[in-house]
Amino acid sequence: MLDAGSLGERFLDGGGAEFTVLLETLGEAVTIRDVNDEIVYANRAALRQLGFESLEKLQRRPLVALMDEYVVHDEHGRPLTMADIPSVRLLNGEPAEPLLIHTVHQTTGASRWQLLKAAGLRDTADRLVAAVTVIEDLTAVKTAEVHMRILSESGRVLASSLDLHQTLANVAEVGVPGLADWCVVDLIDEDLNREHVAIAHRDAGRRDLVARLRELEPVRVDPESTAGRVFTSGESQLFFDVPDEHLFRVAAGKEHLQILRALAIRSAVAVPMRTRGRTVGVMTFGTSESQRRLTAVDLDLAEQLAGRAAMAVDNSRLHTTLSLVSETLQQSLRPSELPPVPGWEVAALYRPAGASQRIKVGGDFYELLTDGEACLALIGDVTGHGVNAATLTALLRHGAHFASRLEPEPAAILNELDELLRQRSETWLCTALCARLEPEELVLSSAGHPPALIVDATGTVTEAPDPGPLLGAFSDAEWAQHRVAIPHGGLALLYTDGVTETSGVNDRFGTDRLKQLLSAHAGADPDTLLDALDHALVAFRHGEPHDDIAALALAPNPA
Amino acid sequence: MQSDFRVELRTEGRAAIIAVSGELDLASSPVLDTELERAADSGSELLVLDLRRLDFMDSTGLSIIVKAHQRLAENGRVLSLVRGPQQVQRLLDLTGVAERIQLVDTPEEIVDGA
Repeated sequence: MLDAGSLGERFLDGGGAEFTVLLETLGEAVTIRDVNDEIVYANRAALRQLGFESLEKLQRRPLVALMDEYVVHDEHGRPLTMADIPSVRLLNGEPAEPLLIHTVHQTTGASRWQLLKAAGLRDTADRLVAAVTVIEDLTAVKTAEVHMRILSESGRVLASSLDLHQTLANVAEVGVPGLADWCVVDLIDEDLNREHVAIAHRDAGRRDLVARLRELEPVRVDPESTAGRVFTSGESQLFFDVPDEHLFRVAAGKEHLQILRALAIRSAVAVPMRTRGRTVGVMTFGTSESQRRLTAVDLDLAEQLAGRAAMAVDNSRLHTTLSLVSETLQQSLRPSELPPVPGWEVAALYRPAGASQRIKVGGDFYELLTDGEACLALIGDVTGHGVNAATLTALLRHGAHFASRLEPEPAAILNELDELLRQRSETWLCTALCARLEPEELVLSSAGHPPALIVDATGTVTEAPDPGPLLGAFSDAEWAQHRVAIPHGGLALLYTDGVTETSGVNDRFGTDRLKQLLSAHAGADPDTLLDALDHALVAFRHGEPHDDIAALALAPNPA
Repeated sequence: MQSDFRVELRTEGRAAIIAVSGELDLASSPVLDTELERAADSGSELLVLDLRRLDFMDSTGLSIIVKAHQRLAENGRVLSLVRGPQQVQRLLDLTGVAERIQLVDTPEEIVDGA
């Protein structure tokens, strides 16, 4: 039998003993296999990696049997056999490129990444007599690499979809098979009601088995179950091994147990989906086919994935809530549809600013009051934006309704709104324009609001008289009323300053452009005019809109 | 369309003069609000807001001025405005602010008269 010393002597110009010492001190595992497929040498590192005390014990174990103790894959997850191992290929006279292998020990479940490099040893006659294999342990490096890839991939999928279920399904897929063979995601509410949202399995065929397993589980999570404990405590649970008695204990009936056994779960980890101090569900990762035993490092990664998934859930819920709040508040700014007004045709334009922000409510509002004897149009702009401004706006609209029934005079309504504002502890300012619609005539009263513009059939534009002071500011304020004729074929435009203050590339839209637009559309009906205005503003605007836009167009319509 | 907003605060005798330039709108109003608070805290009896170098003012800017006027009036102090360009003056006129807050053409009118 050959030994390393004699090999060294034979192939490396003598100094065999020193050669052996060198090999023994190497961190890398080194084995030498002869042409009879016998391992003739293994250094200390190799014996340690393979789990043998001595070379003799290793030699007593047939190589094929040794290989069978492991589940071996290449880095792409393809199963490998003895014939793929570089030293075997070399001795068979085939080219032997370095090979990265992933091994899982069938009994211990230990997972390793190893880079195998083989070189041939030849005698003086240049005959191949043995193959040296250097085995570099890359477990730490590769594990870190796989985990990094999973985390970065999870970041990508979390940002890729607005659909929560799709996002969670994607996150589950990201962890398979790098972290585990399968993953299930449960959203759990405060009453412990469970919603199965995602299943990922490396074997598509077994996915259905897991799905059936989930169907058999109760909708309400048992607080004493693994998921229940993880959810309520916020603490992860790692099961290095999942023995049969454990399955028997947790099974929810006969079929459930059968499936659990069929899944042959090796190792599992259940982690809380926790973010901003709240737990929204549980993610469970497990290994079966790979035989891999999950470790503390895997647990750490699982927790990070679950944390990210939880953030996605929380953001999605927050977004839904905010959209709902935003919609509800926006509805408080204007009537859902304009009521018909005898003798008049009325149209409205409303474009809240900050469409890119989460809460799309501003301070502009309008109203058409037709519930009393008279018909009144009201448009206004509360200084400020957001929820507070919107709440105040609702108050003003209701105040106007109330006031219009008592005294349907525009000035009286403004007076009422001013009082409403000044009753608030905080100062709120508002400009408003109120008009009573009479046959071919408006009775106007304004509180610091941009004056109404009146265009006649020939395109001549006039401004309504100057307004009184804005609402909410001064205790001595009073408002006057003016009668303004709107001839047949003419139209009155009531608007907020968001229209004229719309920013373009060089300047603002301004009153002059607005007047020109009115003049150019003389004779147009209210809907057509506001469409034209909307388009003109969109075309003019440069950048994000900063202010809300509201406008009411009123045209007498004797027919 | 961009215009930087700037605030400069100086004191002359019993007056604190705040000169603003650029665009006073939703974005820049908080800056003026902070500066007006600071000027009010400085103990000056008279506050003068110089609007001459303002390019534009919207209703948010206007509300900052009105609110400052109210706060100061409650403590028996006075806010005066130095007239700005046409757009600014138009807004002050439209909203009735021009009638209720003292308007002058130069800060000196206040400082020298004080």
